[in-house]
Amino acid sequence: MGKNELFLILFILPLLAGCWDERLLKNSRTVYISGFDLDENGDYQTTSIIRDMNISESSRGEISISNELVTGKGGSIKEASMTIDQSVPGNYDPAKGRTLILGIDTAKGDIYNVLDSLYRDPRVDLNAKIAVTDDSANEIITHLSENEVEKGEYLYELIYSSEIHSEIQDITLRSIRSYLFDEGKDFMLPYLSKDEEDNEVKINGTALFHDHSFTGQFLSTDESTLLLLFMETQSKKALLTEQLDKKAGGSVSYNVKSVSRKLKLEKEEKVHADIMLQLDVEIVDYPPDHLDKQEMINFLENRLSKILTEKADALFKKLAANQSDVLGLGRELIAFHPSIWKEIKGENYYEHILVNPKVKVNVRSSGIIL
Amino acid sequence: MRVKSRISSVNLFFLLVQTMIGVGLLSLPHQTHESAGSDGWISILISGFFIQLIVLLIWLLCRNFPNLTLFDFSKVILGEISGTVLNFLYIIYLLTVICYIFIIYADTLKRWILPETPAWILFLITFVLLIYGSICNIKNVVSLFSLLFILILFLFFITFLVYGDPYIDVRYLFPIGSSGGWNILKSTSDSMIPFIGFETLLIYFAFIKQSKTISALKGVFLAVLFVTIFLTYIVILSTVMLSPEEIKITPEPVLYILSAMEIRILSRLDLIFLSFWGLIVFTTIISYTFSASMGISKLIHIKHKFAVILSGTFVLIVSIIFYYMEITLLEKWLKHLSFIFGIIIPILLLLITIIFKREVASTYGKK
Repeated sequence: MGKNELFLILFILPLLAGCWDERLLKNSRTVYISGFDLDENGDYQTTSIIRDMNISESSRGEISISNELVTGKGGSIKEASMTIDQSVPGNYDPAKGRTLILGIDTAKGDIYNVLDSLYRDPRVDLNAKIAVTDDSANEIITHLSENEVEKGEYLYELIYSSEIHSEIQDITLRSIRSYLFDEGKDFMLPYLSKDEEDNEVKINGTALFHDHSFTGQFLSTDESTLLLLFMETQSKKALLTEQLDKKAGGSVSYNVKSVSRKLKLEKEEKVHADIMLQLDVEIVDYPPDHLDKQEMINFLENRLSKILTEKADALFKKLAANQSDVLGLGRELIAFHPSIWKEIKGENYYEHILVNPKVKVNVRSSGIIL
Repeated sequence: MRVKSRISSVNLFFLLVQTMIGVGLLSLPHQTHESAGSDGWISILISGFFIQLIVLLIWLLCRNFPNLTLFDFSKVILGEISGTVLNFLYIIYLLTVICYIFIIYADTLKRWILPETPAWILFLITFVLLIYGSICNIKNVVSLFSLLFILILFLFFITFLVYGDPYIDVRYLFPIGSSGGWNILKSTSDSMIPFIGFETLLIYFAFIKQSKTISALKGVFLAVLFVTIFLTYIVILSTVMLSPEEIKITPEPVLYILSAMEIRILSRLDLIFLSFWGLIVFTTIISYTFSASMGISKLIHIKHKFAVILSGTFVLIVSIIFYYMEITLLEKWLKHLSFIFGIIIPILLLLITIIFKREVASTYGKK
């Protein structure tokens, strides 16, 4: 190596950018879960569980992990986290939060106020999950920190497994922003509540949003599964159970394998949206058996189609009452029927849309027995 | 002075692609969206077509002066004095572009991954690499560029991972043509900026083996085509991933999308993207510095080495001043400057050449 190169390397060494931007794990206080509440004065309260790592020098560098519950108040989310920062040693680092919880008051206001500061920080984990509670977020987090071993992870896993089962819409911090800024689409978030009897936090369904705020109305997990099928965004598993009358043998459970949707939008007095949904299902639980007979299958198909169509009708009435366009019909109109959109556009465009759903179930398989 | 080294048409392809793909890549979808809405990709395609035409004109100009760079044949066309003035202006233009790239580069890195690092450190690193990369001959530049071409393919690859994302909404592309034909055409003038880099052809054509034959043009055409497709792809990708209002407040849509990606053990793909992108920006810087230094060394008759150091120092000082004074004029200027130096002047030169039948023999043949 020539002298010049050596000199050059020595010259570059102090410039190496990593040296300036190191962020040591021992100095930062990593947040695993955060909740946001709004009090009567319009102040935000942030509650977080911080995970601490103590490397003890006496016992050969053994690492012990402890959790700490902290709260802070402020006029904005950033101010609230500054308050927390003042009360904890080291840097309060909200970037790694895997789950965010919105208290009901926060959710009913403009939720973008809460999220804005997160989007401005390049280190925030945009894959974080967001949930709404029926109470204050503080309550839920306090409960978690007292009762669950895994704390932050617990809630993340809870939400994740519900997504896998198509019970709730798969929404992360990143995708929610697309919905917030989209005039023709709304969304739903997992709706958490604390079950007093079991003393557990549960997902009770999904909270319907309109524009930037929670409508106050929520769907049960069954309803939101059906809605996800209508959106064609279900996960690999979408298990539904319907009650049939006694004669037909009680109940039937089935897993939806694939979905095909036909959507027709027409402008009459109102905008009519005719949705034809074809479901290919696999029967997973049907005690009366005998699915080898064609008439049995036909019977099941007809019954299920009828039940689901009724349910879908009720579901879309509920959506219309809350003007929550989770299906994204507004976007559909913008994209493919711009002339219709021009007439009805505005904040409450969903008033002008009348959804007429129809479901057709096809039994495709029944497991390894008939 | 005729240039000595020769490069092939394939080499020219790498040179041009690396020069053209650079700093504009990250903010491109944001900019096209500002002017053409969801039809940004159409305006990129149209601009790509325009650039092909302009590249053809530059070739027609350069083929009259085989193995001469712009800095030589400008004197043949315009005469000694005005030719020198033009050369000087071109050098200033090329240096301005480098300053612009410096500033955007440092700014992006500072906002996305290195918030604590002082900006002057970033400028200094770029400066050292600029000098290190540009003190060499064209052969070295070409081999470096063709090696780093892998990184561009890698950028392609990283963006493929996005398709696992369930939030892609193709409907954001529709209705096609909603912003109106006129708006799309108007916005093409904005979408020219990511294509700048083609004007270095005025210099690089001198190095090509047989500049008279059409095969010289082949590499260039393919390069422009490649860049057009790449940019269109990036714009379409960002359009389907983010809702229209969202892109308007996201200056670097590509990075934003990638920062949300997660593949099992890897998250924050934007960091990987940025580190590759950094090297690709360097190739742009090196290419421009190389061209500018050639001009300087011809203008004031110094060695290429010293010309590089001179231009590097100039760029460092100017960009640091502009950065710390927060002068944002450069971007506005650049739009007009690239229009003048990349399109108007070459066309004028071509017209003069045709009308007055300027030929290389008139000055160099006698010697």
